[in-house]
Amino acid sequence: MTPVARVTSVLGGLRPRLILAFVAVAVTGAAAAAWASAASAGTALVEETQSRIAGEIERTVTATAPSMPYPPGQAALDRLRTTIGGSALVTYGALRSANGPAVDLVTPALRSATGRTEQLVLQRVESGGRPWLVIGAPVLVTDLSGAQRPSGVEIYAVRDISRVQQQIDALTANASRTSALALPIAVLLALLAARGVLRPVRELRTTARRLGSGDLGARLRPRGTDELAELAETFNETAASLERSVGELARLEADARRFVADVSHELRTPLTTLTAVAEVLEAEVEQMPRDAREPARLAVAETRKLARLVEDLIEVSRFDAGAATLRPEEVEVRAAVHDCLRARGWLGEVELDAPAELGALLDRRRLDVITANLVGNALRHGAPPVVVRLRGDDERVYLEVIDHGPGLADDVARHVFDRFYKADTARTRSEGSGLGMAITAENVKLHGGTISAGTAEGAGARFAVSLPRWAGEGR
Amino acid sequence: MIRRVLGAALTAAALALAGCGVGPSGVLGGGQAPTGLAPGTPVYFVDDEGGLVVQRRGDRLSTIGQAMKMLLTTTSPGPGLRSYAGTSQVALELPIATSGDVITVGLPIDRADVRREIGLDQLACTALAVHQQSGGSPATRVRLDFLHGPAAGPRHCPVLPQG
Repeated sequence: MTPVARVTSVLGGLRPRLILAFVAVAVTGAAAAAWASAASAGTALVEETQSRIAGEIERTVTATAPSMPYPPGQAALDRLRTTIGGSALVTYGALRSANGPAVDLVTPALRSATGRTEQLVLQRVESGGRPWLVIGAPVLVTDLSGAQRPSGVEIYAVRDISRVQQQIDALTANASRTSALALPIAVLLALLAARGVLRPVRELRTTARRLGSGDLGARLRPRGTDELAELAETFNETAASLERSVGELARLEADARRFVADVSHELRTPLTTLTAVAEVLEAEVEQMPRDAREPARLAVAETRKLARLVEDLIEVSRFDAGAATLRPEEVEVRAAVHDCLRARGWLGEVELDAPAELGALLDRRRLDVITANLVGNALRHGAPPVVVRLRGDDERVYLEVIDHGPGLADDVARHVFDRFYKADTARTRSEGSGLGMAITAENVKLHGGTISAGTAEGAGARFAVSLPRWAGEGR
Repeated sequence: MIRRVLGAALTAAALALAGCGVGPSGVLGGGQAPTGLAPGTPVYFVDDEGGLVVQRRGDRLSTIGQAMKMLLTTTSPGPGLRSYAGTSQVALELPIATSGDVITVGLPIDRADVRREIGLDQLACTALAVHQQSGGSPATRVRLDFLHGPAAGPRHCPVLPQG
């Protein structure tokens, strides 16, 4: 996973997404509220300052004007300008009295508005990085009738309002700090909320995992009445239904296996008698009339096959019932395999490739069954030469049986350890019971080993068994 | 969904911020304009028909006290005009006091020096005309205090707006 992908996957989790959304909403809300209040306070501050300055000028001029001659001369204009103070400009017709560099800030728009209106007018301008307030005021003449008209005297005053800017900056900085304060609180709340939401999700995951690993009794405890509780109830219903179905299947299968075991046991005793009778019949076959000899031989062979099938069924039933137990003992594997081959008269047909000695702790009878079944299978279905290769290391014993027949197709190799599986479907009857390879696999499994089937390079079918060398240890 | 809400909130915050501050603006209305200029001080006299007539003295509006002085020191107001407000060679500033919408003027004459009722109107109109022309409210009335005799008013001037 690349770092970017890891970050994406971490941030894509439910908890980070919940927390991010929560924090985003909380901080945005706090910021909006704080900034909105700062903005409205700032606006009020600006308006208050503007009207205060305008009011001051209006009062100053109104207090001074009655002592001014009208129409005024240059001296009167100068006096009025001095009274106003600061950067100011006073005009009357062609007369003009100006002071301070800031009078250049009076815009043509403000001048023309001052000339037109009978009101005081304001304009904020920026110069040299500072904000300024420019006030334009026509001085009015009030008639004895109460009517007012412009006198022709106009006053322009320029005031520095950077202090207001500083106050607004302070307000904004304060708002930013307030918003920042909301961040840790939002994270805390988000963590609490996420815990509440995610605990049921985590429980669901744990329970689903238990169910998946075979614990069909795993259930959730629904809490509350929300969507998650509904989900938990649905989950529990599904799990209960699954448990019922699986239980039913298991019961049916157990019934079927018990039936097979019972039938096999019931067949064993009469078959023993029947086998004894068959052996007597075999001994007497030469004395029989010629046309009765062949049916008699057939009857004897089928009886033996039936007896072997029942024995194999009983063995398989024992595995199914879990009654098969491992009886490990010290075994010299080469000698054991050699004995197995000799006992069945296969030494002439089979080549044993083995180290001089290979000691192990295995179940001797089951090792014999494994070897005999694999070699018997190779002799029946493969082609000579059949090679049994025996190897071992500190941990394991490896047993390979290789023939030189056509080998195993993939789909045959997959099913070769199934019960009653026949590779050649045209051949409905085989010499074996059809259970040999299944029993072999069960025996290997009982040892804690593995078995695989395939095709060997330059040869035919290859069956490879790997058994723990000290299988009995720790039991 | 969350992104849309977030966008709206940010836009609102940006708009709120844009509304504040002391950035350059257009031309805004700033309230009442100053007043107080006048081509002379208004002083009231009585003509032949007994009506109140205003006469301008000097080149500026000046103050109530100055106007009252001008009225009281005028012995011959001009052809066809006379004054009933009495005379006094006042040298000191007249005491003028404003409380609420009443201006009290302390006159350096006796009530008996005011020879007719219209003389009180002359005094009241002269004071209120200066007051109104220098931006004062038309609702303001004047009270005339005398050295001897009862005070007159508070009263309005019959020829001026009475707000």
